[in-house]
Amino acid sequence: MKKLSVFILFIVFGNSYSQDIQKHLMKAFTSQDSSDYYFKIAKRNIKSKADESQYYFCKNARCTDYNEIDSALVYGKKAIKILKELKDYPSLCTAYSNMIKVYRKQGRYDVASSYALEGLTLAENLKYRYWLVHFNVYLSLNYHDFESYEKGVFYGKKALQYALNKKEKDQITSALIAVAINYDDWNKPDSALYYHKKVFDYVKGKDTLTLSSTYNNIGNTLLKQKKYKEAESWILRALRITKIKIDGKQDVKYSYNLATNYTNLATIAYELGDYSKAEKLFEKALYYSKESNNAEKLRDYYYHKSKFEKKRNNLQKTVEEQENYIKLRDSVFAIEREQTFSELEAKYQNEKKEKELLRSKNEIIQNENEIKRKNTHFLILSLIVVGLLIISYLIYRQQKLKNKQQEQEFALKSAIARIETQNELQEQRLQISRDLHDNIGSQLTFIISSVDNIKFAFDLKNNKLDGKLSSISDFAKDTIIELRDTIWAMNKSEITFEDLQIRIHNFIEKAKQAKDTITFNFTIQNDVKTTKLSSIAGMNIYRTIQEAINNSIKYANATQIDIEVNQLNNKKQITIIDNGIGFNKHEIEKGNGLQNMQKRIEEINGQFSLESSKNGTIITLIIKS
Amino acid sequence: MIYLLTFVFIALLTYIFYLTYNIHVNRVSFDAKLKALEEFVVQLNEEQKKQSNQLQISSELREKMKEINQTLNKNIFEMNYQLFEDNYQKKK
Repeated sequence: MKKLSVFILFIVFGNSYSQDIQKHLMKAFTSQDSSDYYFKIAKRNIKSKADESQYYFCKNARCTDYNEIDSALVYGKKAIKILKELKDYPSLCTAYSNMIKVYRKQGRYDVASSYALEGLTLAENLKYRYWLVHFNVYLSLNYHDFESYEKGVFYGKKALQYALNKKEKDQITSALIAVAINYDDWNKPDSALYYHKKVFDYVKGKDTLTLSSTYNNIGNTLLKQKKYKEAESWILRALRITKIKIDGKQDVKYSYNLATNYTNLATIAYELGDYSKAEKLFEKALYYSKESNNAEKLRDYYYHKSKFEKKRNNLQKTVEEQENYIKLRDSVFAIEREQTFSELEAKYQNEKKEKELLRSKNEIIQNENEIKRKNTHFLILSLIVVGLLIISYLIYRQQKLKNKQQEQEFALKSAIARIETQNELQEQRLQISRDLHDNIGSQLTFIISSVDNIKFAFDLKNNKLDGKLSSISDFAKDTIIELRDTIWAMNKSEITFEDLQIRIHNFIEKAKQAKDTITFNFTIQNDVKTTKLSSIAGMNIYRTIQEAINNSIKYANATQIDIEVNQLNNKKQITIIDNGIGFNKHEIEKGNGLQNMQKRIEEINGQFSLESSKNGTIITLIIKS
Repeated sequence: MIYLLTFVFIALLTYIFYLTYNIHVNRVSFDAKLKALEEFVVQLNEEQKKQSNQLQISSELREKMKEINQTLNKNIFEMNYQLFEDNYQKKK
């Protein structure tokens, strides 16, 4: 333990304390003779709360090691108070350990256990594995010394579990010993021996020299089984080891061991009937028990001594030793203490359960959070998958749409190319027709002028020939007019009623020249004037009107011809009225002229009607817009 | 992890909107293009129809010209016949 304290001091001092106080405290702690001197120097060098805590901490450790119990308690309490404020937990654990040690020596197991439980709580919170084993071992020992073996075994096994996980030999050994001595005093010697001997699985050869207490404990168990000779052999071995280790040193720890060894050897001696040997051994046991300043050792001594005195029928001595034993036992096992012990245990267990509960709650909350997190992940992942599916569909749709558009575009462009080719061909054909018509026109003009020249140059006496020539000339002139009308229609892609009006006016003017007794009226409604007709429709209407006027002039002896163009709902109505002699539709078969008129109008989806009486003839043309 | 997934989801959503908008824009522009082409086809058809009408007039005229040609030939023949007759009378 001393080595451990020095090691902890090195670690602690290496961190946050001033160099001067470190140096002096180290010297005070390790020095045998000048310890007080160095402690005084260290006290003068205290500059901070941390320095003060370490001063009291070292004082406590020193006093504990040197069995100065009262001083150890004073310094320990001061050190613990400051260390708690500074939250110096490793030092605090060491201070707790020292306080437990001191209170155990006093036999005040309740207070020792309260420090052990505080230390255990701290170690559990901070997960200090070393201190977990350490405080559990102390609790196990406290319960053992307080004769509550079941709990002692419980804490011992707990310590063993932690130690086995940590694989630290010294700590495994401590835990095994704690479990074994509890079983031993619980009257379960087989279990006790099992755990005692298990110690040798971890400590072998020379190292077993550190295990004098284990040898003694095995002897003690055998003693309870009344295997005196065997027990004596183990205890003597323990005694020899302790003596080798003492080697002239004066140490409280060895006094404790020697007190145990001699008490056990004395018990074996009187059980074997060697009272004088037992007497001598009890003397030594008393000496070392007092030397160890340990209540438990003294209590054991008085217990066995009273039994010894009883066995040799020394009743007065028996009563005395019995009284000593009871007095000491009562000081240790007072009812209040037992209550305190129970309360402490209950408090620790409650705290532990609360912690467990809190941890469970935290775990549940964590699990719920984890589930929520997983659900959210799953939801987002599902949405991503849906998103990917939508994107795939959209890309597919876009591609399909593109293909469809390309197909439609290609079909339209093909149609356009085809129509354009056809248009070009038709244009070429039209051009050829126009050239041809121009050519015909010039040839006809040439014929007319040639015929007129012949008539003018040669004084023709032959009336028949003259008439023939005139007939050819007139025919050619009519043909030219017809040709011009046709070329006019051909050169116009669309013909309005206004165009038709001009053309018909020209025709009427010529007709008037031929027969000036006829009055012509040509009226056209203003809103019809701009109505467009196709060239063929325009041409057909023009020819029909021309034919009707010709008929009226030639056959009807009319003096008045009226031409009217009106809007009739969605249709155009063209009426040609003359005041001639008329004709009977049923008596006169339709000649080429009438038939042609009807045919031309029907060709352009129009309606042709004719009414004739003695007062004149009415021809009505209805053209769809 | 959750941030990464959310980012991926938002990126996908943005891409979906972009694709939808792109499809809409393509469709609108194609409809406009198609409309123009259709109007052009209609225009060409009308033009073709007009040309057809003009060609019909031309073919009618051609028929008429045939008739005129025959009539004119007949008249000229009769005139020549009359001339031969006159000249023959004179030689006698």
